[in-house]
Amino acid sequence: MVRLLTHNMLQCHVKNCTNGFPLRFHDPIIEQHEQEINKEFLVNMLPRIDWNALRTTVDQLGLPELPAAVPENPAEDEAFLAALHRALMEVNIQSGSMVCPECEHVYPIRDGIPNMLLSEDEV
Amino acid sequence: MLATPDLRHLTADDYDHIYEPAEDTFLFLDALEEDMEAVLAPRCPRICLEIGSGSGCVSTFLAMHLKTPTLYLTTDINPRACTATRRTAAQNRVVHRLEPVRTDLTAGLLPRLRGAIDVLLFNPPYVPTEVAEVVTADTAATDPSDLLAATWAGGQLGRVVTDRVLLQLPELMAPNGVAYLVLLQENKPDEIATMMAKLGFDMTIVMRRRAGRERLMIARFSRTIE
Repeated sequence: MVRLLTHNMLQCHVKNCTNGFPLRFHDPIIEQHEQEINKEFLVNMLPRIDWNALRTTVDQLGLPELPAAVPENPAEDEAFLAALHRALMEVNIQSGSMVCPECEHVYPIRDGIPNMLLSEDEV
Repeated sequence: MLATPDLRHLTADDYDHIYEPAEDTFLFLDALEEDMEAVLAPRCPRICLEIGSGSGCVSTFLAMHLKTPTLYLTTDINPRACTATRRTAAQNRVVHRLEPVRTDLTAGLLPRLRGAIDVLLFNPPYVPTEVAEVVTADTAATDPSDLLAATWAGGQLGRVVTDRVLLQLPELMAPNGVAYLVLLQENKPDEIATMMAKLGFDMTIVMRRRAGRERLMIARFSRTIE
């Protein structure tokens, strides 16, 4: 159950890999889990979201497109918040992996938990 | 007294692989309760990061009681701890706010979360041991079958893992962020305070308690105000 919220905060950390973000999902099993919307939480989280990375990922997963930019008053834009909620909180990647766009290191997802561990020679 | 998370879903088999909440955990909860209204709530944290979440008891406790729109990210090198953390969050109805990631301390979360951690929670392996006993990411990646030593073996002064995290605080913490750490008297808290002052952080001991032979304390770090 890797949510896109979490995915948006993960970056490849293989030694000398400098541009490993956003990780690309490979063979994802996608589930949608409906959840009550919490607008305060979404608005609070927005400054921590890399918007372009989220849009890229949504596009890669074939999910409904997000607006090109965050609106000026997101807290008052109901349609925007609903779309953001669906993308960030309701999309769950159950299994598959995440691949670095630069060095192609593969980070597996098991039991819905992303595995970012590297062995010592990769760090 | 705030309610402690319900842990009835965790079994003896779970505790063969993950740290069972004990005196240090409960002291941690008491210290967070003490700081809840005066220190934590007014900061309205966006992101709380717990390193080495084990059973998930501490993050779940905060998510249950801190009434702010906060995301709780947790890390652990032990896959059993990551699933236990999620189960504990689910059992206590905060699973939508909590996201476990299997990793070594903060690896993979930087640089994205640089300067973005509003609350950091860390109950480290603090028992002084031979350095060889300290579990590394390499051991965890190659042989995850027995990671229990990772919950306690702290190497020299019990500080090997603790210091790795403390040295990262300047990079991790948001300007107004607070980091909480479980310490033993043997970890030399005065030495830690001096080290952290040089990095621009004040240390406050929020709570102390004696548990058997262990003299436990919870330290809070925040950036020194110029």
